[in-house]
Amino acid sequence: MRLFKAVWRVSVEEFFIYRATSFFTFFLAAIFFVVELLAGHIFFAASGSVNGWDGQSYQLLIATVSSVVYLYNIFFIVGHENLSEDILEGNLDYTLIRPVSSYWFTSMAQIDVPSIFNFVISLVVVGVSLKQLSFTAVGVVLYVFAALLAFGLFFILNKAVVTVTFWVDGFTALGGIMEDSIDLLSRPAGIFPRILRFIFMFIVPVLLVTNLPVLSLKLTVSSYWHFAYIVLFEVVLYLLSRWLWNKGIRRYFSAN
Amino acid sequence: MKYLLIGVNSFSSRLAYRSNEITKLATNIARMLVSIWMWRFLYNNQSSIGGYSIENMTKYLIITNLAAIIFSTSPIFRLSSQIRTGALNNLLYRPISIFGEGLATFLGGQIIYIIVLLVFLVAQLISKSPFQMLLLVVYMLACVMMFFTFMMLLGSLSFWLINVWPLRSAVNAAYLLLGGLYFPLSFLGSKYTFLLSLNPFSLVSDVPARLLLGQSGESITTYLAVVVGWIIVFILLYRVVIRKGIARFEGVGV
Repeated sequence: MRLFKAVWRVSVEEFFIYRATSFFTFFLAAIFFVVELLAGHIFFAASGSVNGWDGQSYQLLIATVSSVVYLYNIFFIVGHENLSEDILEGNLDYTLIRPVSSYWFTSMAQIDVPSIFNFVISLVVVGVSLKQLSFTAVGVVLYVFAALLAFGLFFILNKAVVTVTFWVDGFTALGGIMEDSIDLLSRPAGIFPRILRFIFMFIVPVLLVTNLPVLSLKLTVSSYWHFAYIVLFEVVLYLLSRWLWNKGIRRYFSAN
Repeated sequence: MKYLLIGVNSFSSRLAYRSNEITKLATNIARMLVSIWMWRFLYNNQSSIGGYSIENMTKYLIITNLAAIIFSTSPIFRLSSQIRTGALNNLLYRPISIFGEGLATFLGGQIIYIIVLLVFLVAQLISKSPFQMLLLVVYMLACVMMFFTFMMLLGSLSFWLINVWPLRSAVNAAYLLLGGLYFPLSFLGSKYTFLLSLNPFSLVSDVPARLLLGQSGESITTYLAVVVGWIIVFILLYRVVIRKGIARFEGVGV
């Protein structure tokens, strides 16, 4: 906890030192979110309601996924962005000699303060979208739980992908794979061909966690066992990612 | 000659790091497929939306997304990395232009995609006159120059910014919206389509797609004049920004 407070203090200080950059970061990230919302408006203005999806549900899906991604960015984006470089350049030494969990420290080495503002904006859009839809209290509880599960999955998958740098050298596009995948899979599951839907709902369940919050608001029966599946999946994946990390740091060497 | 060598090196390095190339290509193709699937889902038995049949919408999305592969944002992040790490010193010591070196690297890395896109676009005009084909090739080559200069201009902001990774989101967002990667630009409101289409992102992807599908009210020569205008503006701005940037560059990396 003391370590987290120190990380927080340093990140906030850096945010104020680089005010212009921080504002720029916040502003540019917000543009992407606005474009996604606008695209949703255009899609459904042209076609109305299709297969259970309308403009409001789609807006909620986009805003929810954005909130989760910004929450992930707040805590982990800077750590994961730097991790590949640190592994390749031998800068991990400074982390490994500290008496802390290297798995968590490399992920949470810095807080991305501008993402906090983006997170708040996306939460406001979530609130506006929810006001336009009808739901129950149980639905909202399940919605929040589903969003937290999405947050957990994004973290573990990103960590596992970055850890691959211990074995693969020069594969710089690796870092963007998860970001692009989440972006592409933030769509109603029904648009995808059946085989891809199966893969991304159950084998790499990114599509499942992006759709689950909206589905859980509607309290569909299938969403309950989806919850059970994703909880189990995340526990197994977390253990796997810890194992991969431990294998990776044993393989790591540097002449730093 | 030195720039030709840089271009050849860049081409070779792209071939050496095939996994990066395949990943980027796969991401672009996936983006295109998701856009097409989204629209097929939305058409839901409608014959036409916004004046586009489902076939024309599919063709439009294929052209705009193919163009997005060539008109890459990589020069921003390459220049940014050179500034951030201090590697720009290697260029400043030598009798070599930062712009020329960047252009040679960009063209060398993208040459295969440029040829594929040009062949694909010209093939769509097979029944038209050779002059029209030539005009399209000239237009697309001018677009390559314009877009590269624009990316270098954005990349040179790294002299002042610590992180440029959010730029990736912003440029991608501009591409998605204005470049027509999600939907035709005309869907934003027909009254402003022409004015909107004059931005760099639309000129490189939405405009060629609409020209080929016969959905454009303006001729290719009008758009070519606009592209040339942008090249002049971006080069002038780039010269000012890079001069000021180098003046404050300490060369030690951040």
